[in-house]
Amino acid sequence: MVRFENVSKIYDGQEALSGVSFEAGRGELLFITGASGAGKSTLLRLIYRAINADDGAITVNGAAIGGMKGRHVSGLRRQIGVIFQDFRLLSGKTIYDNVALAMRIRGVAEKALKPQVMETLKMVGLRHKADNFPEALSGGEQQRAVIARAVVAEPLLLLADEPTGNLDPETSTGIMRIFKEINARGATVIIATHNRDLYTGSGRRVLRLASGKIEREDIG
Amino acid sequence: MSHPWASALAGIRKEKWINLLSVLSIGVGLFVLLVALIAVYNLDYFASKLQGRFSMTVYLQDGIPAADLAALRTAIRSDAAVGRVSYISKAEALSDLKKALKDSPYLFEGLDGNPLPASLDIRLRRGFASDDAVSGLASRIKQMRGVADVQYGAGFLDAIESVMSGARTAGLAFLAALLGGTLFICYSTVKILFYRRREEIETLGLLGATPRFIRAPFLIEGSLLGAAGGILASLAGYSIFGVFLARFAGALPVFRYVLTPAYFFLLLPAAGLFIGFSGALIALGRIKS
Ligand SMILES: Nc1ncnc2c1ncn2[C@@H]1O[C@H](COP(=O)(O)OP(=O)(O)OP(=O)(O)O)[C@@H](O)[C@H]1O
Ligand SMILES: [Mg+2]
Repeated sequence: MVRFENVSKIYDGQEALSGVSFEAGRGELLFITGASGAGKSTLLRLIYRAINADDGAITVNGAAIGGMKGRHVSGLRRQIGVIFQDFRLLSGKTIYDNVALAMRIRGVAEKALKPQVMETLKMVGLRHKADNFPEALSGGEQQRAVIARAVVAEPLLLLADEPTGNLDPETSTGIMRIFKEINARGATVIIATHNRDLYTGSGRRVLRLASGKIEREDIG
Repeated sequence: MSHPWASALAGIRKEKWINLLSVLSIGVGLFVLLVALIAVYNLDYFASKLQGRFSMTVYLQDGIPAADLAALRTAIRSDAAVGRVSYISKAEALSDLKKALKDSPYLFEGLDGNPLPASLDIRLRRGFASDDAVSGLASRIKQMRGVADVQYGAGFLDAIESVMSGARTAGLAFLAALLGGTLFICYSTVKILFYRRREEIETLGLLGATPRFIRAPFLIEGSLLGAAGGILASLAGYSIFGVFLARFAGALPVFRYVLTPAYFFLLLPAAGLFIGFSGALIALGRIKS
């Protein structure tokens, strides 16, 4: 589903990723870990084309995304659900509308989307916050709203950047269960995290990044 | 309500105060434009009215045969510059004069017969009224049969024409400057609005929204703000020109002559909408993914 071949990314002359190669198979759930600044977010941002690689080739769902432009990039992003490390909730919209946005962007009709949005909000425990604006939510609640927005449209590929950074251990476990469920339904899931609890004992592949390179690969 | 409209209204509500300011700026800009437009319109109307007042008098020889008179009128009327031609007989000329001097009837005592000549009064068509055209016409008429003399206010037309064309040029330049200023106010207002929301635009892009999806609510928002500004300017203009001036016309009769065509007021909301829409379009620019 996702394939990196010798990918490098340079920010202002500093190499954030260098010569990274790996493959995440269709329907796989895998972890990326590493110290702060190791390049986890950079790797994910390359997949949804928020940034462009300086070297190497990236393939997503069979398509080389290096030279992609315009509507192809929009199309690529609609196949992907992203849990942004910095949330990116729209402050002018309610939680309901923030989550519904992911469906509207995919052209889902208003009538059809409501039950699915409410269902997803219930799943992350935010049903009672549907009509609130993001600023009225706690950090952890905001994070769960971002998770709901990323999964509501059942994307082929889910990218989670530090999805439990603001959550207590119990809620984290709940969120992890959601990821596994989505994965079980066929989605490929890539989770970038420092949170050891998420992957220990999971039996899934864990790629460890250090200073922009894949240092080693374990089974969690 | 469809998504773009709901989103646009939510955007307006979210930043009420800054949006209100934008509406006010656009409104003030359009109002100033309206005032300038009315000034230029009135100036132009006044100038053409003055030109329309211009007339040329053709004095006829006494005892001109009816056939010659008819031929003369036809010949004069066939000139492209000539509008209306009216005949004033000797008797009419005398009674006009008597009417004008009715306070001094002694002037006419002992007057034998009628010394006044019959004449033709010629009004020119608008746009032909320049001194060159007029003097050419006068010398042509002077040569016609049955004409005793031709009189007109030489220099009159060129004088008003040069004053008016100067004033009109200045007015148009002023109008152009104001239009540019108004457009700039609207553009920068909308641009600032979008600048404040660039993060939202970026996020929409990252979520896979097409440029069209991103633009629609902003274009609606810009159009609504612009139209609201236009309506505001129109209401202000209407209350000042339509109500206020009418009330003061009693005290200061000059105001009675200020013309305010109704379509100017209808034009403003449409102009505001157009400005808001294009301002939004320009401000959004090309959305890169
Ligand atoms: N936009 C940017 N401009 C310049 N440098 C950047 C930019 N984004 C990231 N970097 C640098 O690239 C390196 C990798 O950053 P990245 O965000 O990928 O790390 P990370 O592994 O996600 O860290 P964290 O766990 O703290 O989120 C860091 O050294 C960071 O300073
Ligand atoms: Mg990161």
